[in-house]
Amino acid sequence: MADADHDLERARARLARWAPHAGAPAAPGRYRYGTAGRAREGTRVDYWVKVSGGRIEAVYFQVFGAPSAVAAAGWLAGRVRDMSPEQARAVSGLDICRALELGGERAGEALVAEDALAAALEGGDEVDRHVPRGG
Amino acid sequence: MTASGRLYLDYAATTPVDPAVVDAVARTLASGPGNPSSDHEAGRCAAATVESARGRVAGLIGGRAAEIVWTSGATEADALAILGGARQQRARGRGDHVVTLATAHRAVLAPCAELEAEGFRVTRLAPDRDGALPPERLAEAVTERTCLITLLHVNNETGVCHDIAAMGHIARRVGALLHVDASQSAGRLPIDVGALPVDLLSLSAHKLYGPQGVGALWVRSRPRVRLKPLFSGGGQENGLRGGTLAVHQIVGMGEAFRLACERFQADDSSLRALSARLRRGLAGIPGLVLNGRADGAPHIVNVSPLGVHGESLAALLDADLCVSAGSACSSHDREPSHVLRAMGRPDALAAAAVRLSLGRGVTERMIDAAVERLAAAVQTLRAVSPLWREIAAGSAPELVYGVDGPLGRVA
Repeated sequence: MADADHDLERARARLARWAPHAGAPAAPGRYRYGTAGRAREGTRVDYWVKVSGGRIEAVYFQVFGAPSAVAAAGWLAGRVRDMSPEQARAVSGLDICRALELGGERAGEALVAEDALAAALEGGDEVDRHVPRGG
Repeated sequence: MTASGRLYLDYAATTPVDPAVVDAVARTLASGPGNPSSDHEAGRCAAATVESARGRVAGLIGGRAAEIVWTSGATEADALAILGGARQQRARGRGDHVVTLATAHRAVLAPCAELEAEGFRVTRLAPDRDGALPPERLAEAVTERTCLITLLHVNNETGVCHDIAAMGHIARRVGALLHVDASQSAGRLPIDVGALPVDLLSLSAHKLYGPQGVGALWVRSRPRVRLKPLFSGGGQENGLRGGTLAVHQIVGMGEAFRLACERFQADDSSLRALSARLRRGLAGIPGLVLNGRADGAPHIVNVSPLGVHGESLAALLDADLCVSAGSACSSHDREPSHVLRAMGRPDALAAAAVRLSLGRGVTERMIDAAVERLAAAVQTLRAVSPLWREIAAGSAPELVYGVDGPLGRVA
């Protein structure tokens, strides 16, 4: 039971740390949008990336996932800010796992975050803030 | 409230032991040794105490004291009824087909799987999307080889109530035994085994303000239902369940059931009022899928908030509430509920299920606080959820969750 308590406390700590940074863009503007994962797979991450002057000026994200997935998406969003898109593409799911001590099945959540960001950077739809998507 | 200050709304998992039960158990433990099987004064005192408790348990369900078999809990009672009943029926040439419901508790499903391994044919009926089993579906499934039908009276996860009278008449038509697990219904719904076509009824003490570790199986005596015991031993309980009786626990169960009988109307009125308040409160949270029926048992409500991940929800709720969230509703592993899966819920929605269950000691303030905390947790997670963003923008929830059929009734 002590392990379970510890896990839930750590989960809450992750949510407290990263969830406040999550959310779709509030300010108008053009963003590169990318998504990965699906509800039926248990994890989905959406990113909106604003690139200006060759640098990533802003990153927004939303997550349907466990607290570790929220942490993975949030950590990655913070990591790539101010990077060039090329530098950002080099940040991998493995980097996320190492930074957040994610192992086992949680590594898959980090990969979803990596894939979603890659989708945004590599030909992601240019959108005005939100874009609905089914599935 | 728990010792840590969390709101306890998980009465379907276990109930606080009534102070009167604690007193009765303590007095029994302090009263000196006595094995009810011993033929001396101390043994006879213990035996009389046990018989008194037997009568109290039988009294709540309209049965006879002699029809009560003590067990370690409802799980063992289920095993004795299902394994013992089916094996006896087959031995007497009365068939080898067992019927149950896919949403039954694992304490029912596991013995059924064991029978399957012994060569019995087992049919697990699918419920409707709201968890109900139409009697016609049972009627279509039974044959002249059906020897046993086993069901929950009230589903422990969803609170759905099954029409056991109708099920019993179907069982009678083919000569099958009807076993009912009444763990969640005894003391909450009226049960009169004298009037119901039921043959075996499992009972739990700790679901009704009694101690853990004791239960009972009611076994019809007229006409007499015969069972094969699960294990051999000292011949106690007319050879059906060997082992020295735990007198103090039995006393606790007897006292709990006596109190339940005495307080039935008051408990029922209180529960229905609290349940109505809870449902009204939950109706104020948009996008909650009801896992069950509006006319379910008053003490259980199970909902899944759309757009919210079960693990994250469980983590947030754990800070303030003791409720069954996500997979904890059914097991300690991380698998979504087999009950909700059988009702057609996609895994992502089943994993987000929250079961709130009520009982003595719950107040209106606790209900309101629980609703407030659930609403806050849901709001926090929906603010970051791409699924909720799409649902709020008008996308069909079924599309967002990637399923074909309807998700269920939004409460």
